[in-house]
Amino acid sequence: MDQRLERILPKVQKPARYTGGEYGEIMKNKAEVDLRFALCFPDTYEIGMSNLGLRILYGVLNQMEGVWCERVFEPWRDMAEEMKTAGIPLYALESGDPVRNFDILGFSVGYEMSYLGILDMLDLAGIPLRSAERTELKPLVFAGGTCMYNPEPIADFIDLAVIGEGEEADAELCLLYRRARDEGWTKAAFLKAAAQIPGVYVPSLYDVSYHADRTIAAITPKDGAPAAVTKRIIQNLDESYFPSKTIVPSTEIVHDRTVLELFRGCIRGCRFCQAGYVYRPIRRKSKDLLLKQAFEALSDSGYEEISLSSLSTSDYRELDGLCDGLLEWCEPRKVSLSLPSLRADNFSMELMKKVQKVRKSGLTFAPEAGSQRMRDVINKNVTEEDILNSCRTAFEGGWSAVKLYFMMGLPGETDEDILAISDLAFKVLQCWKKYATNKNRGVRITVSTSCFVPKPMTPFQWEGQNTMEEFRRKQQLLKDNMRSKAISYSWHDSTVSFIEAVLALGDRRLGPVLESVFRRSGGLAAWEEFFSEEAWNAAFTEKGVDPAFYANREKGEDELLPWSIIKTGVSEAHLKRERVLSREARTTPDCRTRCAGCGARTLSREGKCDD
Amino acid sequence: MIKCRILFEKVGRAKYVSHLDLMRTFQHSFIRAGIRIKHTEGFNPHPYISIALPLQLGCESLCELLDIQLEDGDVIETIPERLNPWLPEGVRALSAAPPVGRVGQLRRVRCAAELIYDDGNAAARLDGLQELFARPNLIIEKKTKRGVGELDLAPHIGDVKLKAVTETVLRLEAVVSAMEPTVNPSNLTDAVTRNAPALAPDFARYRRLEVYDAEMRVFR
Repeated sequence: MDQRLERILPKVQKPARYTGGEYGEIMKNKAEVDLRFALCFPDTYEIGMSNLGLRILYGVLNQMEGVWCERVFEPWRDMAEEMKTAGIPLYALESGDPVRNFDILGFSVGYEMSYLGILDMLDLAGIPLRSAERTELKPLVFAGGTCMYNPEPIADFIDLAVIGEGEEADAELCLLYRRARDEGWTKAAFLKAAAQIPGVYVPSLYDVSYHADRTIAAITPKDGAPAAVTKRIIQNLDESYFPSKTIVPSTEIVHDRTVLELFRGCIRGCRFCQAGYVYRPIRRKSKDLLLKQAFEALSDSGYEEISLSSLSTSDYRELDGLCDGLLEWCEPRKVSLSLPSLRADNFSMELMKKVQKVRKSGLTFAPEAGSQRMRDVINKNVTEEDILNSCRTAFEGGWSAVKLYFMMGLPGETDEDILAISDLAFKVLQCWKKYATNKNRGVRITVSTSCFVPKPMTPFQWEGQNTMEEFRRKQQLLKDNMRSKAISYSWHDSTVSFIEAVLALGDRRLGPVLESVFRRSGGLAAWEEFFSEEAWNAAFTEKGVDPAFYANREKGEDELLPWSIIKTGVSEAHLKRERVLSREARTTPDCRTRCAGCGARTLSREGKCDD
Repeated sequence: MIKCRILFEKVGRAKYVSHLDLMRTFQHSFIRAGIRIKHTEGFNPHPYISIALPLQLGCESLCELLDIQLEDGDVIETIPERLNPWLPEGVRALSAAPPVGRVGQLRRVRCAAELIYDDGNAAARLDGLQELFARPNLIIEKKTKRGVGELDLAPHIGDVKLKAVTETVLRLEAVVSAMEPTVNPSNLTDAVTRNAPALAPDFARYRRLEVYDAEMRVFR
């Protein structure tokens, strides 16, 4: 180990996250690889190592001949300071080699607030922040992940973005890079060629012009770049890579367990949910393969907990059989099974009992809105009766703690809708009083509200976000109207949500703002202790950018949106139809009941969706 | 159940794995290795393991002891070879045998410190350090559950050996008290920093070498 590193590690919190050397990490002989790939996660080790996507890409890239993919995370502030003082540039965990000497840096970006983390990591690596300042092919800096459905806010910093699922596109990029390097292409030549890979978006190949009112006038491709970049999907999940053998961290991470992905996509069509739209079409894995992979992954990791992952676990067609098969293996081995993302409408006693057999976890329901009208506006398709029935089932089954998640600031929301949250929580309390089998332990009902952030690629992409003042007024209103001490209420800070909306809905004019905020307050902005409202305000003022233009303004349906080049397969016509229905508080049935004709099916080679 | 005590080392990058994290790492590793061990009772059962003397973060060791209980019929001696492929880098089982002594009988630890002097003049500190460790009193600050107190190390350190290894490195070896009080290897440099600041190294590495009972018999 680098002696300089050895000297600073005793001074920082949780040094094990900076050393690598965990069970399952992939070490390669440097003499036998010709492409060094830094898989970068712009947040801490504990968050990044909990990300299944990162583990999948790590495995996929390391399967490639001649490629060594290593992990890089954003160090906590204490470590970053020590590294700067000691003159240690950002390094990869496996080899300890400086990231700036790698061929490719691929950032996985799932949360807008981690944009500053990208800048932080580039800066710590000693790599120029702006793509234009990096004139050589090496190192190539790109980003993928859910945020890249609107990559424009970070257009200045990345050389390209991979839109959609990265398993295949990342590998294709590596092959093209290798060819470009071996044949001595310029960076410009490489980017021009990369833009021809399906799903690759090269921001510098698009000129953006603006109207006097600051809206976008035109986005003009050049050098043969495509006029539309359609996201990549994996056609057949059963044939795709699953990390049965994966890294088991030697220090505690956020989700320290085996994660089994059941399917991608969601049949529900909740109108606020970006994931629900961008992961279409629905592709599931077969039950028997899942069981096989679960047993392999549990055996190889030694984990004693397995969690099923998807956008809506209860919609997996063979969930009962899957759970039975898992429990049959898990129970004698004392492995517990957790089922997040269950819907309140089909939450069954039987399923709950099954899960309870090994270990009992807390229950969380997400009605998202308090009133039926509002739930219809967002197409949640859950009724109050569903929620209360599920709570009754839970209380009868011995649960005594229920969390209820809601969003505030949904389109068309009134104070009545806010107060309905309090009413619903009170009804849940009454339900407990009526049906709880064990009242001695008391009940804990926790209501949490987040601030709605309109997201690209959803029917609400044109909506303006409530102002921070409006959010605070609504939070106070709800707080004043909570009807029992057994119900506790917590809420998200509206300032962070406002910045999230600016970044989610923003365009490339935010580049200078991001850089200015980074220079003022550093990275790790997703962490409350490092989020600086002052830094953001100062940066907006300095760069002459009005954040409300992005966050609070309702956009015209004929307006050219910053992410117009990017296509998810879901047609804009479908989004507009859904928006009209939402304004009439009319629901759209789930995709299994009736196909809504969103268009995502066209991405499947066989035209399949939720088969 | 068969009582089993594993002697293991923890070196290299693994020295930054904390005591609690190491326990969890072993729990996972036994499962990976298919070695079935006794679980704790109760609502949330997990593999029962016990490590004799928690090792300070950042300190290496060649003599850690871990107690488990194997299922009847298991063969103790094969544990290292079955377990080692499943452990993270730097953690390695050296041997396994039925426990000889009770953990409470573990009284002394031989440890080593590499004292590093960046000016390349390590040997110049040799005499001063010899004198320092021969003093009748060697007070250090010691954090306890009740706060910061003072401890006289002198009665709890013995068999001090000092040697210049290279121009920048001095090797300090000593036998220290393992329990009541617990003397950590880093306390040796704490004593230097507090009582002879001019001799304090720029950096130090620590390692436990062997554990003993009260009569200085190797403890297993």
